[in-house]
Amino acid sequence: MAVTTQDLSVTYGTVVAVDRVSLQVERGSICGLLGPNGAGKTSMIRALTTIVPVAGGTATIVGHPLTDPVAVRSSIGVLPESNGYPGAQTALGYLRFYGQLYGMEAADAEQRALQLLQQFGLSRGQARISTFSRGMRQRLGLARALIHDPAVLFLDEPTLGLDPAGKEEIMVELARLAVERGTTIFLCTHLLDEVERICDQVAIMNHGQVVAEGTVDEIVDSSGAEGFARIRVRPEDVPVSDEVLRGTEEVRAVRFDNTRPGDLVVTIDNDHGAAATSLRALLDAGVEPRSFDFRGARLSDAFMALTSGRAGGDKVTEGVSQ
Amino acid sequence: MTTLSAGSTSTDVAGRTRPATRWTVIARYELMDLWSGGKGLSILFGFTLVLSILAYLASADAGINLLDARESVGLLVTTSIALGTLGAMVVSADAISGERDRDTLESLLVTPVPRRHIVVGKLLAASSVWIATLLVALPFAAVMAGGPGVMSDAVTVLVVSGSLSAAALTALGLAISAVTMSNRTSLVVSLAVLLALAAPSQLPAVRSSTTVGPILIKLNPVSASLRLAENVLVRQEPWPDQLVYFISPALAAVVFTVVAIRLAGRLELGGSR
Amino acid sequence: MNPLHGRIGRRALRDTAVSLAALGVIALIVAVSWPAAAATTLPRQDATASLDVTVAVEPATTSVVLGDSLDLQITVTNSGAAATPPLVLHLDILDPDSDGSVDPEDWTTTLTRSIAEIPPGGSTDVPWTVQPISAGTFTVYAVVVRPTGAGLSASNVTEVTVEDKRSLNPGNILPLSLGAPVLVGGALAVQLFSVRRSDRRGRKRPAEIPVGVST
Repeated sequence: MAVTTQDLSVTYGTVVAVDRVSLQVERGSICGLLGPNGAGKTSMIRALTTIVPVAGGTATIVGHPLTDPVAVRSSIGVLPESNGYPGAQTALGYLRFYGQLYGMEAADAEQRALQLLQQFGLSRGQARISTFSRGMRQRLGLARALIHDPAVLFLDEPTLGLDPAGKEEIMVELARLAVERGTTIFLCTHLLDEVERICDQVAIMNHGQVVAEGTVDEIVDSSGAEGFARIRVRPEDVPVSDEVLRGTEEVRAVRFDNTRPGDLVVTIDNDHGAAATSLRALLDAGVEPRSFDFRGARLSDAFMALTSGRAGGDKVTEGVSQ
Repeated sequence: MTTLSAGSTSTDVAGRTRPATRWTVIARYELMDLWSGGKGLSILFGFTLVLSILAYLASADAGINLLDARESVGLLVTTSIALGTLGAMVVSADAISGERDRDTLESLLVTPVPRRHIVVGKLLAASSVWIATLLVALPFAAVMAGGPGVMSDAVTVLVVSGSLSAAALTALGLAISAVTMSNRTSLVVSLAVLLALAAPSQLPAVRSSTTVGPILIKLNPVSASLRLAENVLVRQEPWPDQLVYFISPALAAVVFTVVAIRLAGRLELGGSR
Repeated sequence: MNPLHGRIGRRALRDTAVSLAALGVIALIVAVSWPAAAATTLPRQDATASLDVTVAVEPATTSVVLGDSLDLQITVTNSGAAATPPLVLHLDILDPDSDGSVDPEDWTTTLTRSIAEIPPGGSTDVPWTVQPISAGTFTVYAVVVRPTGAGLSASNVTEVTVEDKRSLNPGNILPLSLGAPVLVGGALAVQLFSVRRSDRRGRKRPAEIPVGVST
């Protein structure tokens, strides 16, 4: 295991930010850490990266306990959520500096820095960081986190503030790192669709505790989240369709889309069998749907279901970064 | 490319030596940031301007015997010590709390660099401000001294007493920066402390007092340095009698440096949490 | 902080010292002279009478360059029939053309001096060095007073012209005072300029190429 925690707790005075979290992340995997604002995600990451002291429990990072912070820090790369950069420095100088902090010789650090700058599309390393765009700075931060080729990468909102193209680039790079270099990635993000795409493992936190853990499918299935079908029928078939669907066992709810006469939004069990049963019921009743669009429950649905008593009270919407 | 395992030193076929110790890396980086980013030169320019005006006016007064050479050099030396240490303190007061404000501290704290190395590196970089102001002040002292005797006294006071005061106040500024959660607070507290150290000893009541005044002046590292300069340069008192005025600056330099390094072990993000 | 310790503090100290010294001298003179005075054969001028002394300040007119010292000679002559008591000589300076006052302490460290008894017909010469601190035309005079009782005699006035010949380069400091800030300021300007130019170049050619080059 790359990361193992056992009853890990973090407190700030009387406030319990992380409450007895036990987690395991396999080497070379990408673990998504989700949760509403104030759930304890950042505190969890800061505890694992030895920034904040642990109030209880234990954790190991690639076999190094948190009680050996130097060994832990040597094995990890971190891109914090609030990450500033020295504007007067050049990107090359910045990376070279961090390379040396991780014990590299100046020449090695410079070589590695140039390699990373090219890898992340930052070709002019002599440019001052103050001239970099937001996306460039994020990529620079990621390069810095990778300067020493760490075994574990902790990323807190790495795509924050990036445009869709920038987000895509980062996600592709992370997936490549995990596959090609075996880097374990601990990804804290609000972008649920990104997590669905690249994470091997997901943990959802709420009120300082892990409320769900596993693969995306496992979490969706265990959350009781529902699938949705949008069915379009002729307006005159709406009453019949409503009656038929409400009578179908797999259908949980039916509502009408008032903005589109003839559209019904049906909540059904989260599997394609239920969708097929609903469609068959309509056909058997003589209703010919104009369209039938089924969407199975997704991580965002599971997230909403699991965090409905969320800490921060903010609505987390799929695909929208906070 | 050399393959590294986390935390190890690097060696290659050529068997190159261990990488530089971390505090030297930090010191070099901070020095570059300070002097190539404009901040260091801005402080130095302000200092040079003030010193130039002061030196010219003092020399003009000396030219009409309003001040004699020793008095004018004494004025220059005490002003140089006061402003030079202030400049160094301003930089050190920004060293940690500034990183907090700019959100660059966390990236530094997650590296395997021991906290005390971070503090020592920043301390050395901040001290460069004093060294630069010293290098600017020395030619002025040489020209205004008017003779080797006064010049050697002035240089000795600047280098020894001034450096001790600067070391003390730079370390104090860094210690304050390490524990305050915002840069503004750090600067205000540092300046207030400097004022509290410097101002009382300049009050006529304290200066003319024969009991509490002399003790207060000797205990206070800032006033001790300024009084030393005055005694040696203006009153021409012998050097052996002034050794007592070295004690509090030297002690303060050691104590504040130790405090700053010890506080390094408790560096935390603070407000950004 | 006030490194300018000199003038006010020095003046205060000198004031105190002079006053104490003057009083001490007077007291000493009185103490010493008292029994002697009882035995002296010389008649004393009546304490209540005006002083029969003349005071003269020389030279009558003079000029000096600002910063230089000026030597005055003050002669106190007893024109009476009896010896004078111990007297106090006081020097004063004023600027007749200006509404502001001249502080005599700026010109000289002592403003008063004691003069021992002067026998009838005798005189005492008192050399006095002053150092002007500003340019202009000034009037200098001296008065002699009894320490106790009435009696005052004033001298002639001496006109002192002080020429201002200040150098633009006092003590050869000008090259350094001009050169140092120019040097440091120039370095700062060059640094800021080169940074801005580098930033402008950076904006014209963004430091970014599409990601896709794998290691």
